Amino acid sequence: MDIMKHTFSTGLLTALLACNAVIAQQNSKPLEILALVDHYDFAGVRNPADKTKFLFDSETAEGCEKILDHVVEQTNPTTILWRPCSGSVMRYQSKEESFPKTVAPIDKRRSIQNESEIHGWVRYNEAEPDIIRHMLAVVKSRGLKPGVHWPFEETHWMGWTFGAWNLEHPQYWGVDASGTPWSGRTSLAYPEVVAHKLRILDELLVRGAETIFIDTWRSGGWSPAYEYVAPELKRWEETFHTPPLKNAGDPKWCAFIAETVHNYFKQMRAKLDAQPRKVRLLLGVSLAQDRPDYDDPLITRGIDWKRFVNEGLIDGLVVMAVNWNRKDPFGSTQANYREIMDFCRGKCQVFFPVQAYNFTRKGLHEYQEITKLTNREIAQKLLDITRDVQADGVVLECVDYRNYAFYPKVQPAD
Amino acid sequence: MTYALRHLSWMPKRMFTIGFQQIIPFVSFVPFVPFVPFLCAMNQRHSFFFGCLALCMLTPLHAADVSWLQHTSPKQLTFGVGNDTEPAVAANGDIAFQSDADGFNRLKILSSDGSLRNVATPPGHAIHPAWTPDGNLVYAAINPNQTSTQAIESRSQDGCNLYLLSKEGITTRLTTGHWRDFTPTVAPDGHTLWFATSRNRAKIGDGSHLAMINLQNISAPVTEFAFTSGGNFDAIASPTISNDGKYICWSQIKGTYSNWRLIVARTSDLTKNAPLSDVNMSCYSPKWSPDGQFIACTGYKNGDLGWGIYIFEPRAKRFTRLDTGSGNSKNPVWTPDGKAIVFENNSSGLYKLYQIDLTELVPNPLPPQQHDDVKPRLAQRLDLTNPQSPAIVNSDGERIIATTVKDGFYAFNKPPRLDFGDNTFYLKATFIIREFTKESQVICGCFYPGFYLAWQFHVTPDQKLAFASRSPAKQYLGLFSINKLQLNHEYHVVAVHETNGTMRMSIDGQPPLVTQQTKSVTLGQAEKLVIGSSGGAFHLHGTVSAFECGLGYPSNMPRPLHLDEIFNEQDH
Repeated sequence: MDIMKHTFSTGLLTALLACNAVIAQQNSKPLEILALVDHYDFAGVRNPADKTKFLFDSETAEGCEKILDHVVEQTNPTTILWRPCSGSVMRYQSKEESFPKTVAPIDKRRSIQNESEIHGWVRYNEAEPDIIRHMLAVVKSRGLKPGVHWPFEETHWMGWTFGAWNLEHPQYWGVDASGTPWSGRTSLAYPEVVAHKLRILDELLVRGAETIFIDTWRSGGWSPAYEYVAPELKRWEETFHTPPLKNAGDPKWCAFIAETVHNYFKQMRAKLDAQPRKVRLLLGVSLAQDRPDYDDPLITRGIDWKRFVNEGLIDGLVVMAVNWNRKDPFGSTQANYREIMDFCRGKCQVFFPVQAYNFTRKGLHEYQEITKLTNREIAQKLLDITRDVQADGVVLECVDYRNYAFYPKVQPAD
Repeated sequence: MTYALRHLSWMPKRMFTIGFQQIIPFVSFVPFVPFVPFLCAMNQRHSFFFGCLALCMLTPLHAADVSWLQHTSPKQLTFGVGNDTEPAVAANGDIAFQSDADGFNRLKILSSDGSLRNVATPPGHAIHPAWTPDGNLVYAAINPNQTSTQAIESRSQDGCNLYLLSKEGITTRLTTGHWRDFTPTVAPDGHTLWFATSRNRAKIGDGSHLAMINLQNISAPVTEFAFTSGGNFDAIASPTISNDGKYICWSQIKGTYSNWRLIVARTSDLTKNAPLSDVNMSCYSPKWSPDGQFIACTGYKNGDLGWGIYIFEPRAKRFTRLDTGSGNSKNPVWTPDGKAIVFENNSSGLYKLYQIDLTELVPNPLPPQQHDDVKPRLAQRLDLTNPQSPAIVNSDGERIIATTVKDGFYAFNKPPRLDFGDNTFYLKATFIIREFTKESQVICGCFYPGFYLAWQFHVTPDQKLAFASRSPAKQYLGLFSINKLQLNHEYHVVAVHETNGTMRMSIDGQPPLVTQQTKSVTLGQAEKLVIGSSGGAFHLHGTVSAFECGLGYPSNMPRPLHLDEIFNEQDH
């Protein structure tokens, strides 16, 4: 605890000093700060004063509140988007994902992760109290916007994160062009799968989510390459009267699959519109492709994001990465942002990244390599560019233990 | 067999003749037309019959090319609340199973006289029952009474561990440790207990591997077979031993994009193993038949309506799916006489135990096969005899000089003989790393039209060695070393990407890491071979002193056995 106090007080002092400078620079529009929080990432943080202990017990209400304290202290966010699942194992007592037990080895098909470490043993889906319900309520009680960061995936790259429903319904699994099914993910081409996902959405809504952020950057390895399923093959044949394209990266095939994905989002939108309270739907895409003729979200995710924007299907576009140029990092970033804003202005909110993670290879680390600026300086420049193009806010991917300690505190949005 | 016909329980049992080594859909009413008068006379529910007949006409029938398995329709064995799963049949016919009526899995025994009794087990879940030949019960138990933080901080030695309940009612704890021991099975001679375990996986990688306990000396150390699962996302479960004790089968998953498969090995040398089920199926929970000729398992194949019971005849390389009706059918076990299968099915809404009788099951093993394997062929080898003028040399001694030479980076434009097509190909390299960087470092790789580095060795930013290839859809297919590389150590690495999608990599002569991926992209004429960098980026901070690639398996990575070779007792 003493360590925490020390860390917090040091951080706070730094933050306050930075805050004055930052606020002075701010122009009119306050930014919404979306903090992506994955409590699993805090589970293994050892107490530096006693390495036999951990700083956060992420399976308890107290532990998760402590995680929230840390996130707020680091980044002063306006919106907390809490991770509700690992792959498709929901992190609350989900009726939809209750059988067979999503616990290894009670379900012997679940391969095991990190046996020697804490991560292989967490059981968020059985925790008391219900973590998601509790944390969304805590977030709201602190005056922050509560939401969920729901990756567009089912596997998160681990066998142990396959959902119970997925394992019970192999007939809905994705299939590749060779006819091989993949147990990692079910296909949205089946109405039963869409209905299942909408039931999960119901579970998230009754737990208090006011923002549903679907992050298609996190696709768990899925792509249109796994959509050679019977309904899609039939639809293709009826549409084109030819055998399906074997090249899963062919834009025509991907656009065809994107219709199905689009239909799923339409149904989600309809459900959100029917809620008694306003619930935002945000779409996360990576726009870091380096070829102008290559539509990465379409080819690798079956997502036609411009159509989503044009049709008002989403309330906000969360840009997880842009293709800035190493010869002119910030100038090209600004040009990218402007282009996206020109397309989205007046149609939906737009959020740009201040990315401590570097999976996109376009995060802070990459800027630092080129510019030799500090993370704080880079974050400040990205905030300035975001304001300059009049975007709505930034997304912090993901706020872990002290990985945003450098982050300049900004004036929160109303 | 159509699902509609299954409900016609008054039909002759011999009608349930199935098998689909080759599946040929055809209009299914044809074989039943001769029975129409007979059926109508036997049953007054004509409307029901004609309804079923109409459905038959619309439903594709899986026609068999062989008639080696016939069975009755399922008979329900257990009833009531809760899911009854994971059955195990004792020599006297008693069926042990787990039931979750109160939220926890508890063990129960259904006696052959129909009586049901609870089994006293430790608190928490008791799962995966198995019998010894003399009627003792082995099972796994896990008690989730702590958070993971609490368990590790308290240095708990309670994970999922194995217990033995003697027929006299005495419980003995067989294993202790904060890991997972599960899916036990006892060899038919009763001397050894085999199971899956996650112990020591921190050193091996995520997942689980095989282990064995000598039941005649349970205080002896557990024997582990770590190599049965050698990489991340690599797990095994559910070992089963043949009646003569010579063979073992287990289910295994290798890699993110793979499905569960059945693997068969000799118990005398588990390294002699081969896959039984194809990559395009998901199969797990195998159980060897009492006569050692067949293996039953849970399986799914594209087009099935859900999980089903598959029967494999490994020596004949054939398999069939039983018609167990609607719903999922899983976890089959054989009765001691081999004439029936007990399994779980959820057609009632809950999983309950069912039995089907096998009225005909005829083994027909094949003689040893000739295998037309790709012959190993050197494609290109790096020749550094003149360091100022590096070259690649093929098996005919033809040399091609590097087009680019710069700071340990060599590039060879349009190198011939790297058109491996769909065949198994291999890479070998010897290298030293001098410095780790935040970038990947390419040791060697090759560009093909439309494919940036279609195959390569590289060092990852987290200091591991990667063998990477590409799927036809351009996906990156990777196999990674478990441990981080060491600086200034000379590594000798060899890897293959097999025709069936399996990737293997051996470092410094160690047992290979294996992952099941999709097939490689078809490799035509190569555009550029690179050593020590990708060309414009990912420079290697170190040196490559040897490189070789070619078709088939190199001498220091022998090809895996074919299935029939496992049973032929002769190594190739």
